[in-house]
Amino acid sequence: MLKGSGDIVCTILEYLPVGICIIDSDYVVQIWNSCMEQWTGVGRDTLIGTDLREHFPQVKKETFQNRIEGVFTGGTPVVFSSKIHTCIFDAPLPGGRVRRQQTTVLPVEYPTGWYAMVVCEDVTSLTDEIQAYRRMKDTALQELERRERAEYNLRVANEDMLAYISEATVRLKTPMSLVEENLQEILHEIEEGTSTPEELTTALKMQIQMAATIALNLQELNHAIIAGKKEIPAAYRNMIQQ
Amino acid sequence: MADIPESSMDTLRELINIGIGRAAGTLNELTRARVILEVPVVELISMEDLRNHAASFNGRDTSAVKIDFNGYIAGSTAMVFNTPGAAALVYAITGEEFEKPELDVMMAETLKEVGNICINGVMGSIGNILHERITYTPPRYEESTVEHLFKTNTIDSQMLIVLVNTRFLVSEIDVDGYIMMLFEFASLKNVFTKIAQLGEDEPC
Repeated sequence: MLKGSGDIVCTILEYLPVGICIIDSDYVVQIWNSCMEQWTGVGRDTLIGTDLREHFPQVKKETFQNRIEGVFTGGTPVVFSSKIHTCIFDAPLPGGRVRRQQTTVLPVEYPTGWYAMVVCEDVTSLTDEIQAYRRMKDTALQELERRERAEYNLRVANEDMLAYISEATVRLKTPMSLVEENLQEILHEIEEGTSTPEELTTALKMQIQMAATIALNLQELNHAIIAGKKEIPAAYRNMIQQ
Repeated sequence: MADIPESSMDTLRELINIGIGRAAGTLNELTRARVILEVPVVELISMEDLRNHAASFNGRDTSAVKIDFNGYIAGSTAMVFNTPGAAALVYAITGEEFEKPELDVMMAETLKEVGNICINGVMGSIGNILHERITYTPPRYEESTVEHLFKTNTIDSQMLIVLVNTRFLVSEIDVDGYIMMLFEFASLKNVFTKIAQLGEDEPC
């Protein structure tokens, strides 16, 4: 067994925070580090010297074996992503969830020949974080889209409202100018003494009534804006109701 | 480059074709999607040509999976995609639905496996005829421009690149992928010497 060689590398592998397993070309386990023991719940006493395929069904699969075949002759390293394979070793988390693994198989040469070093990283937390980030991003994008739509509607409503107010202002300006003209006329008549007090009283009463009508119109416009009367442009009314 | 016999280039093309075919087989075994890798176009280009070729990526960052090698032959191999194409490819292979594909860490890790399979197919084919000791680094994912991709591996301007262009057809998507193999001049000479020997050994 490689462990028996007393190699310092074996001691280093033992304490790495990733799962390490070294097998020979017959899949006989040479090294099974403490991280692997902890994750899988299978001790090295049970595994070392036995065929890894007998303990883990994923390793037994032909697709796995075909991929790592070249490693035993010093070929290129092989990676198994968690997205495609989820996990190579059955190593459930304390709550029973699957431990997602990213696995790299590297060729290692010893005087006795080529071995495969299986390096297993736990990417469960990373996957969870990325999925949470994706959900957050999707929500943010949807919210942004909704806000952009609302802003557009608000712009349209404001433009409609401005048009409505302009029109209302024009409508109110005519009677206001009339009242102003009439009051100027009454003032002139008082200065000239051409009208009787009764005639002036009648003329002033008429102007007061007209001013009252204008004030009423202004109040109606105000109510229309606040309460969403039918005269208000539809876009603005929808905005008020929202 | 001119002194490389066309028959040797043909053999290299055939080896690469076999490697790509093997990679397609592996990808189909592994994934739910049916992956078709079209017959690749293989060219031998200089570093200068690579700079010109980089223009086809419009100077944008690419997504690449890279493996360096050393020993009887030395250099680096990269599987290169434009980044949106790489994202679309990975999503299609994993069967995940998307609106705007994005290459986050998990997707980059999956691309690393896809690139690893393709590179292993091609390098395995070449390694099989060499029968010499070559050591490889584990595959790594990189995002950079084509021009900068091999910057750390380039010793001199004499280095040559075997450019393999293939198309990945998965579901309804169609993504162009490049395998770029950067060799030291002496290494490429070694490869072609072995190829020539292979031709001599073959019975008529």
